[in-house]
This record gives sequence, C-alpha cells and structure tokens, in this order.
Amino acid sequence: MRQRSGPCTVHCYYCGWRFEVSARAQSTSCPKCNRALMVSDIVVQKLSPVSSVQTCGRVVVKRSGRVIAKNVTAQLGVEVLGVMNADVASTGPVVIGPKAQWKGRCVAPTVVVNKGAQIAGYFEITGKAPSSSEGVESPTDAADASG
Amino acid sequence: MAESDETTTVIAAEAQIKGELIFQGAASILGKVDGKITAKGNLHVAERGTCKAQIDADDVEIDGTIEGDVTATQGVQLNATAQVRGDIVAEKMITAEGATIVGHINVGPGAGKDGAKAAAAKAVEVAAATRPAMTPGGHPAEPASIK
Repeated sequence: MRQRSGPCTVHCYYCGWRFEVSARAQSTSCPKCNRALMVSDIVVQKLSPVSSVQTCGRVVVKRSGRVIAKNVTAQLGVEVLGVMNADVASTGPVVIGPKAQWKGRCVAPTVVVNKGAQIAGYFEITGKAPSSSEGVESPTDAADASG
Repeated sequence: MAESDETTTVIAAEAQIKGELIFQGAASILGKVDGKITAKGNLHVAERGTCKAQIDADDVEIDGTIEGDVTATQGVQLNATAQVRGDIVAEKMITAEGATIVGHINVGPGAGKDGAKAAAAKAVEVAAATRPAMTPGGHPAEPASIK
C-alpha cells in the first residue's frame, strides 16, 4: 500500500478537476462536480465481479485476484498479477505481471508487460497522460471530506 | 575458433527499401522499409529503424518505429524507445516502460502460431486470387469473362 506524506493532488475521474487532499484521505468529493471519489488504493485479492472500479489511487490485482468489470479507472496506475477482464483507463503506468491474464481495452501513458502474461485487447499506450486542462484548487479544506 | 552458422542480414541506416523482404535467418533493420517483412529467425528493428510493413518473424525485438501488424511465432520484445502502430500477435511479449503501442494485442500460448497460420492462410488466399487458373494441360486458363 502506498504511504502518503503531506497533502497530495488528485484528479477527479469524472470531470478531471485537480485538487489537494490530505495524506490520510480515503475518499472525498470533487469540489467542482460534487461527486464522491475514492482516493485510496484498491487491492483485489479474490473474485471481484463489479460493474466499475474507480479510484484516484492505484488498482492492484493480486495473484489470486480477479476483476471482472465493465471499466476500471485508476489515476496512479494499475498493477495486475491475476486476472483483469475490463476496459482499463489509467493516467499512471500499467504493469502486467508474468502470470497475469488480461482481456479488454487499455488506455494508459505507459505499460510494462512481463514475459508470460496473456493478453487480448486493444491497447492505446501513447506515452502521454490524458490532458488535464482543468485548474488546480489548492485549499485542502475544500476537498478533504473524510481525511 | 568455430564460426557461428547464424548470419544476420543488416539493412543499413541509410537504406530505404520498398517491397517484400524475406530473410532466411536473423535480420536487423536500421533503415526504412515499406512493404512486407518475413523472417525465419530473429528480427530486430533498431532505434532509428522505421518499418511501414506487415512483419512475420519467429522473434521480433523492437527499438524503432513500426506501422503495421506484427506476428511472431515465439515472442515480441518492445524496448523503451519502441513505437508500434498496429496489431501484435505473439506467443510471448515483453514490454519495457516507455514503449508506445496503439493496436490490438493478442498474446498467449498458441496465439503466435494461430496468428502465423492466419497470416499464411491469408497470403495463400491472396496468391490464389491473383494467380490465373490452370487448365489440365498446365496452361493458364483464359479469364472466364472477357467481353
């Protein structure tokens, strides 16, 4: 699990607005669109059949984890050691482990594929993070809902 | 000292080739190729190498730029400077952080062989469609309908 120190900047995965939250925040709401956001990392260790997985942090699928979802959105990256069956959009790096099974789209700035991974899907790895033209709201008290 | 039987064909950095290239062994492309590349060994596209080509090989290592589909019966290795715009079919795949990919990826046991078979079948189809039909006497038949 990622250790944060001090306030950190997150992007709203609905509207792209950037703002700061405290290091201990697990979830918050976007000051622009007022929608609830997950800030903490999501670690999947077993079968997780959900419609969507969204977080401002990372999504980690452990060796025994299986994500079967329509879409996965992660701001800081995705690491898959187990099974990922979803369309994934990440503004951070995507790492596909040596025994991972991936099925679905992947849009990310960079990807690392280890030897032995099984992949089927459309990949759009352009080297650039999706542009965030929205401004930054710096006051932490506006955003930190639960930290 | 015993000499290695393995010889590598090198397309030099200044070379620009348009057409179909068939290598019986390993090949390294440092220049520009426009067309189709078939290699029965390892194919290496160097950092400044550019291929606008459909590539079929046993092993493909990419440091440069490829616009076209890549089919490898064994493995594909994309290094950090690699840029691929096209579909990738291979048995195994390694991708370094920094490589850019836009296209469908099909990687896993059997994928490379199936992809190679599909490519071969397609090539046979194309050849059959372009070749005139033969009569029992071995002479090319007249086209069926010339008016």
